[in-house]
Amino acid sequence: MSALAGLQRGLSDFLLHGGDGCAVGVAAAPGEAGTRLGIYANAYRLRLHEALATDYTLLAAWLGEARFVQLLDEYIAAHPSHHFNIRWFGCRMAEFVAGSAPWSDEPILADLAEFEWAQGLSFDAPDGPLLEAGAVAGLPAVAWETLRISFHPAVHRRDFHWNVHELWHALLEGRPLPPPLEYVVPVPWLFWRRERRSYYTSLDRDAARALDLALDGADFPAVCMALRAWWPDDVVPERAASLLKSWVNEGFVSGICLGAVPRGAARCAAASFRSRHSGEFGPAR
Amino acid sequence: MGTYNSLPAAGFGLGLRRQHYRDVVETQPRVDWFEIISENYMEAGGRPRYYLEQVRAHYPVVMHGVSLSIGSVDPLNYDYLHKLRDLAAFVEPARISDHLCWTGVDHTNLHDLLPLPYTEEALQHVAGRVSQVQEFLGRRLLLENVSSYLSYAESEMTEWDFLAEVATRADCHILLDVNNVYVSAHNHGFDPRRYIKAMPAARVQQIHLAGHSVAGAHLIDTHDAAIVDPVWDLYAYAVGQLGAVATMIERDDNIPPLAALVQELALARRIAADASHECVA
Ligand SMILES: [Fe+2]
Repeated sequence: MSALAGLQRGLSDFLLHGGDGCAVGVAAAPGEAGTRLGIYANAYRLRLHEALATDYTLLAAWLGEARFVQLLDEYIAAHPSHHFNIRWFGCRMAEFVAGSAPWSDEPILADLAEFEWAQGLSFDAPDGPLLEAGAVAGLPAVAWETLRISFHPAVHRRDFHWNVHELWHALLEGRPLPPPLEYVVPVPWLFWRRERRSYYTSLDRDAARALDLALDGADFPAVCMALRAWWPDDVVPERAASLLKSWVNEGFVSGICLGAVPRGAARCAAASFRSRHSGEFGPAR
Repeated sequence: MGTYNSLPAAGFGLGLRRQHYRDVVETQPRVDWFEIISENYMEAGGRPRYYLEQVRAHYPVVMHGVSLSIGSVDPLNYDYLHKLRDLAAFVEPARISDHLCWTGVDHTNLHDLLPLPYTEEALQHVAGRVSQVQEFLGRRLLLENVSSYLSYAESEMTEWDFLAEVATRADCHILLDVNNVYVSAHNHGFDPRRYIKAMPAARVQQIHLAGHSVAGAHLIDTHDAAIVDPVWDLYAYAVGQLGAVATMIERDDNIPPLAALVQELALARRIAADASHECVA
């Protein structure tokens, strides 16, 4: 190992795991090296705290200062950053609180974390085209047999077991958080963005199932098939068409594509599909 | 490397911060250019990207990164570099800068601008990597001196000699942060004017100014306050030594209204004008 590598591993190890930092080889008056190293140790912790506190205001409000700080310290120790952009540092918080004691004793924590993280994902997701309202109206009947939808990158689906949106609204309005309520069955929600504003809404169960399939790359007949669990056969095409229309109108949809999906393509992305296949109705601006 | 097909971004700029997005676009203040933190716009769409486009329509924009980790012994992160190059293709910045530091090792990011030991080994390592990055970007990079709070026993030369030598060997430019020079000079007990005097003037293409805070015996580069008088004095000295260099104010915390920063920038204009005048006289 080169001297430079040794030095960097020494300081990195000190920042990640603490210790006396002797391996770093700080030039300082006796007793002063610890103070100097301490400045970096503090800065490391504070910077990551700050990033997480920005991402998880609801979790902070719910836990209160002392417990939130404890959570952040444990998260930082468990999940050092592996992405150059600090934006992604908090990406495993919901998973962490769901899987680590004592946090896992409070199942609402994962929902609180996920609700805010999903909003963040929608807020600054990459831009994408939006299919114009009415773009699906004139499709010939045969087109529906192979139609797949590509969604705007800001569209995110989540299920919540708790009334976290009520807690979120209370926080936004500066009210005390209302009592938590656990749903008998998890409620499906959708997050998206339109005109640079973030939105979220709860979904009907059939709509959520249809969206999940479509987000996963299923074609329209497969979506219709799933809707049969809720609707009589003769109503299904109408329900499916009205769902698709509402998704387009709300700004969830970037494009549609027609024709068989090439082998190995898990999802149908508007841009790449357009260049590689003929006969599709590409994304509309 | 030749000239770049981008706006010049001379004069006096500000760091673009989201708190000021609307103000900048609606009031179009007297600022000659804006500097963005590259990472904040690499993958993002929505509001950040929209405002970047709007600001870009009215002002030259330069790019300033915090994640290049030019001094790390890890391999260069080409995922990062591709994103940086894509963003540059969109922004067409007059300058792309990052820091003379390392930010992590063994694929773990410490998200801090950590100082390097000033050794021949580090010098060769950094200069080689700067060349690789410049090759990849097809243009020169500016490297900024960071504030530091510790130095290493194994250092063989001063920070200013190290920086000047990296710039010469790699044929890159320098972003001189005058506040960082001041902070480090205080923390390590050297004369900040010696540092500035040692800078190869032709390579210094941008200057940063910022506020800092006091923590016991040390100064910390917090960018959360107004620029203090000794840093203004040092800036005047820098202008005297280096000539009229594009200058900007960085403010990252405790962010005041845009008008306050524009006013602080007016002070930079006055000080630079006086210093250039004295220099000529
Ligand atoms: Fe700076």
